Amino acid sequence: MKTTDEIIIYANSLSKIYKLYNSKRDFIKEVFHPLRKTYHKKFHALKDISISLKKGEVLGIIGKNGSGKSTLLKILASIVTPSSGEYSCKGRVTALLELSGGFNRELTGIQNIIFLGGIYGFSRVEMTNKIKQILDFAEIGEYASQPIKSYSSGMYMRLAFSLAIHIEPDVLIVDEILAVGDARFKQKCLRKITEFKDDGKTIVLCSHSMETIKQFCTKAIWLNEGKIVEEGLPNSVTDHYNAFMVSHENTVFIDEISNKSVISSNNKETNKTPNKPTEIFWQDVSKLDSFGTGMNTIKYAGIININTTKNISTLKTNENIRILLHLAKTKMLKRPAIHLSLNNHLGIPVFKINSNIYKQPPRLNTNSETIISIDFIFPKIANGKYSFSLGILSLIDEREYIHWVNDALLIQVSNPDIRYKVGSQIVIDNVKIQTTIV
Amino acid sequence: MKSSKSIISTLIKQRYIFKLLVIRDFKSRYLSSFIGLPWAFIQPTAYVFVIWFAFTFGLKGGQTASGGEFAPWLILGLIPWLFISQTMVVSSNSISQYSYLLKKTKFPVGMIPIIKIFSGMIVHIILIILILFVIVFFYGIQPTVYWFQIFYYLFALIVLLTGISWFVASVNVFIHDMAHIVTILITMLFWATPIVWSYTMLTGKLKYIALLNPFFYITEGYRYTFLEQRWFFEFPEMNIFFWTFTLLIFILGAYTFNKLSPSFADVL
Repeated sequence: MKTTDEIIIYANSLSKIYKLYNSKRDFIKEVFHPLRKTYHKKFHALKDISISLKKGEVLGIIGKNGSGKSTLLKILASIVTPSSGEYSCKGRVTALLELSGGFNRELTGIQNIIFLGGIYGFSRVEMTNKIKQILDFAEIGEYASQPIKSYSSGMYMRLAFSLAIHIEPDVLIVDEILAVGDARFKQKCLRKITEFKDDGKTIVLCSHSMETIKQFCTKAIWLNEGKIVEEGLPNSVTDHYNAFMVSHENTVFIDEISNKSVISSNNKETNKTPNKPTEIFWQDVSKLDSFGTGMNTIKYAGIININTTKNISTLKTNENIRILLHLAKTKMLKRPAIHLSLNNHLGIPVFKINSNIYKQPPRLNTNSETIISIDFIFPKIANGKYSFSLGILSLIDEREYIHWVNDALLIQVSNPDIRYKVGSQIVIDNVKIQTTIV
Repeated sequence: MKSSKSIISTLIKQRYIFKLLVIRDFKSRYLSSFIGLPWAFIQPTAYVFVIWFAFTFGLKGGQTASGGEFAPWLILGLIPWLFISQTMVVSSNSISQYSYLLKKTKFPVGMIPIIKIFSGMIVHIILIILILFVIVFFYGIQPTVYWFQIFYYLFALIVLLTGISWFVASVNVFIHDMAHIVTILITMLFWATPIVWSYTMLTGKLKYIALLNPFFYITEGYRYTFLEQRWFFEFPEMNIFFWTFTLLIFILGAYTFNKLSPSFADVL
C-alpha cells in the first residue's frame, strides 16, 4: 500500500438537510409566500461530518439503512450539494452509486461507454481503445450491443463497475454495488479494489458486509442518524456496530421502579429469587413492525440471563434466560395468552412458546401496567442470528391477536462448539456412527 | 450577471463535452425513429403547408405587409417560430430527461437547456438553407447582402432562448406545471404575435405593442433579411426594447437556474 501524506478527500462539518413537504401545494406556498413563512419539516440526513483521507486509504462506511451513508457518498461524488460545510476531492472521481443513474437506457452498452467516457474527458479514439478491456472485464457478451434497458441488474452493475475502474480514477466511490453481483464477479471486483488500493488510489465504499469492510478498508466510520458514532480501525468499528445492531437498537432505560417490579413479579411467578438486576435495557417496541386489535399493549421487551440478571444479546445453549414483556394497561381480555416465537434469519420459526399450552395463563391487569416474564433454558440450536417475535392473544372462540410484535428482540446464538457451526437449525449432542464391513 | 458568467465559462471550458452532448441529443431526437432525420423536415413542412392552406383558402387573410408573395413570407416567419416553440417545449423537460447523468457524475448541469437549443439549431439551419433554395428557384428572389443578417438574428435567438430555457427548465424540475404553462403560452404567443398574419392589420396602440414583441422582432427580422431588404438597425425602438427584454430574461434565467440547480439531485 502506497500511502502518502497527501490528503485526497477532505470534508469539514458537512451537513445535509432535506426539506420535507406534506404536499406539492405546500412547496409552492412556501416559494411564493411574501413573508417567507416555512411549510416544510427539516430532515437532517447528515450532521456535522468531518473526514480526511490520504492517498491510498480505503474508507468503509457502515450504518443501518437511512443512516446517511448514501447521502455522504453522493456529496463526495459532487452529485448532491451539502446544506453546509465544505469538501474537496482531488483528481478524477468516479462513483458507482444507485443503479438507476449513469447509463442512458435507450443506448447500447457500447454507445453508453463511449458517451460516458467522453463526459469523463476521454476522446472517442481513447475510448475505442479501452472498450475491449471494459467489455472483457464486464463479461456481458453479446449484450454489449443491446440497449441498456434490456439488461438485468447484474449486467448493469457489471458494466457500470467495469467502466468506472477503466477510466483511470484517482478516487473511487462505491455504494453497496456488490450486492447484485454473483459470487464470482464479486470476487473479481474485490480483487480489483485491492489492486486499486495497492496502486495508491483512494477509495470510499459502504457496505453491509462487515467482512468486506474488515478485509479492504484501512479506516472505517459508523454513521447513525446522520452522525459519526465512531471512527477508527475497521475491526473495532465493525465489532461495536455489530453489538449495537444485535442488542441496543432502540433501547430505553426505565427507572429503577420498574426494574424492582420485574423482580417482584418474577418472585410470584417463578418462586425463584433472582439477584437484583443492576440495569435492564428495555427494547422500545413501539416503532417495530406490529399488528393487532389492541396495538401498543406491549410497550417494551427485554432479555436477561437469570443467573447474572444482566441483559444479554449473545446467547449460549443451556443458558437460563428470561424474556420480559412490559405491558400497558389492558382492557378485560377473555382467556389471554402470551405467545413467543424464535425465528431464524430467514424468518422460519425454530420454536414457539404458548402460555396456553404450558397451562400458565398470564394475569393481566386492567388498571396498572404489567410485566410478564418467560423463563426457559435456551435449547440446542445452531449459531447464527435469530429474533424473538412476541404477542398477546385472546383465545375466545377464535384467536384474536391483541398485539403481535415481529422481531421484537434480536439475538445472536454463539457457541464455541464446532457442532453449532454446521449451519442447520438443531444440534444433535451425541451421534454414534458405526461402520460394519460386509 | 455573475451567475450567467459562470455557466458560460464552464461551457467554454467543457466545450468538448458540450459538442458530444449536442450530437448525442440530436441523434436521440431525430435518428432514433425508423424514418429518422427526414422527420425533422417533414414536420415543419406539413405545419407550414397547413397554415398556408388555412390562410389562403379558409381564412382568406393571406396577405403580406409589403404586398409580395404570401408563401415565402409565411414560411420565413414560421420557421423561426417553430424553432422557438420547439426549443421551449423540449427544454422544459430537459433536466429530468438528463437526470441519469446528474445522478451519476459531477456534471455542468447548466449546459443541458443549451444543448437543446443547439441540437434544435442544427435542423433549423438546414431548414433555412433548404428554404433559401426554394425561394431562389421557385419565387425568383435574388440573394442580397442583407442575407448575412441571419447570423445576427441567430445570435439574438440563442441569447433569448438561453434565458427562457434556463428559467423554464429549472422551474419545471420542482413545479411540473411549468411544462403545461409553456404549451399554453406557445399557443397564445403564436396567434397573438403577427407571425402568420401581418402586423399591418393592427392599428394604433395594438400595432405598437406588436412591434415591441420580442418574438415578432425575430420573425419579422427573418423577413427583413431574406425578403424585404432592410437592416435590423433601421428600427431603434424595437432594438432597444428587444435587447432590454432579452437581457433581463437572460439574467432572470441564469439567476433562477443557479439558485435551483444545487437542489436538482434532491428531487430528481
